[in-house]
Amino acid sequence: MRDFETLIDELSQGAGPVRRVLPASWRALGWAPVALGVGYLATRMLHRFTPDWDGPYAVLSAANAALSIGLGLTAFASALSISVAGGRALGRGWMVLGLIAWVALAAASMSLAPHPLGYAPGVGRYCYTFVLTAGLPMVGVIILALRRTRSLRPGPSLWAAGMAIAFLSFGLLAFCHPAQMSVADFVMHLLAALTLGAVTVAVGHRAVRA
Amino acid sequence: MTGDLPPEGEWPALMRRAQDGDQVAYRMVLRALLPAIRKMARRRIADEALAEDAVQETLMTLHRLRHTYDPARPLRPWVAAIAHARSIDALRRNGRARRFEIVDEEAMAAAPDLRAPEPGEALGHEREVARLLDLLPQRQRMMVEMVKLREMSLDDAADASRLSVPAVKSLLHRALARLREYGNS
Repeated sequence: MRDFETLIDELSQGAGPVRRVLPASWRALGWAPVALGVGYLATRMLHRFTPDWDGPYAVLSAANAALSIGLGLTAFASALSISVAGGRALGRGWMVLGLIAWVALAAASMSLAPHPLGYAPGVGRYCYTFVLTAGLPMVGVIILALRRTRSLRPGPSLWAAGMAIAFLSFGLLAFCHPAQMSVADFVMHLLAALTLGAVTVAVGHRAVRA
Repeated sequence: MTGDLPPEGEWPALMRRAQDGDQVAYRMVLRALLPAIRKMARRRIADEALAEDAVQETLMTLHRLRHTYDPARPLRPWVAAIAHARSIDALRRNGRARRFEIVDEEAMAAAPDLRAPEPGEALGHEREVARLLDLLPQRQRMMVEMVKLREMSLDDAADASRLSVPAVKSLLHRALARLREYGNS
């Protein structure tokens, strides 16, 4: 057995005061407006469709925006929580319920489309571009937030962060998307989410690894 | 030696004081944690030397991440998560090293080293090594010079420097980690 007394002495002699990290949910609430802000600013470059907020389906758009941002916040808090040693995903039950509700809302939106299964070249390209334009700057913000604690399990932390970025981007998209959507449109939303997840893991792995 | 160690119930309070900069409390909690960390590492790693490496890595990670500990919670699960991650890392590193190990020493000696630097290039490398070594604290620099450059054994380096072998290993480990950091920046 090695004698670690010298190492312990050196570590304790060099130990100054440190600032404790706040609970994950507080940190998520602090960082989310920053992420949403940079995402919003990035999408100012794009042409923005405005939904009919006085129309009969406005409630669907509003519910979609609120639910997406809620899911994004929960996933973000989970990413921050998982990154701390011994930390777990937060609100797993709520997350599952929220995801079911989100899929139900998407199904309702698809049922409103005149040709839900119709496909034309270019369908969904706007949504894909929008979600990536909003989400890519958020990747930087969220990796910055995760670097405060680093992570012993960068994979799960970053997948949760990627999910958070995707849902926060969907929240912004809901303000620029008609209430109806086709299946092809929805598939492009999911593809954009997967792209953001993969980019977050690829870019963040070295940056957040403890 | 273990008689003066604080009981587990006091660990969170000691760690809180350590986070506030109390070095005595920090030393006490690290010493109290050591047997628990050793047990956690040995549960996953059969090889004693490798387990001791994992213990050292756990102590150093714990030091780097001490700001992430929430004193309202028990300390053991937080430390266990770090020890678990570092034990897995040690096993992975060991597995990788074994997979790429070359046992045919004759063939190794006979094979031309295509990546060997040209004479001018070697001088540049030498300067770069000297520059990086200059950035290290004196004791760490001495260990790198003895063990890595003069290829002394750990025992010989320990004798020459009047330190214990674990202290030599620890200094060497920190020196290499620091050199890696400088090299990446």
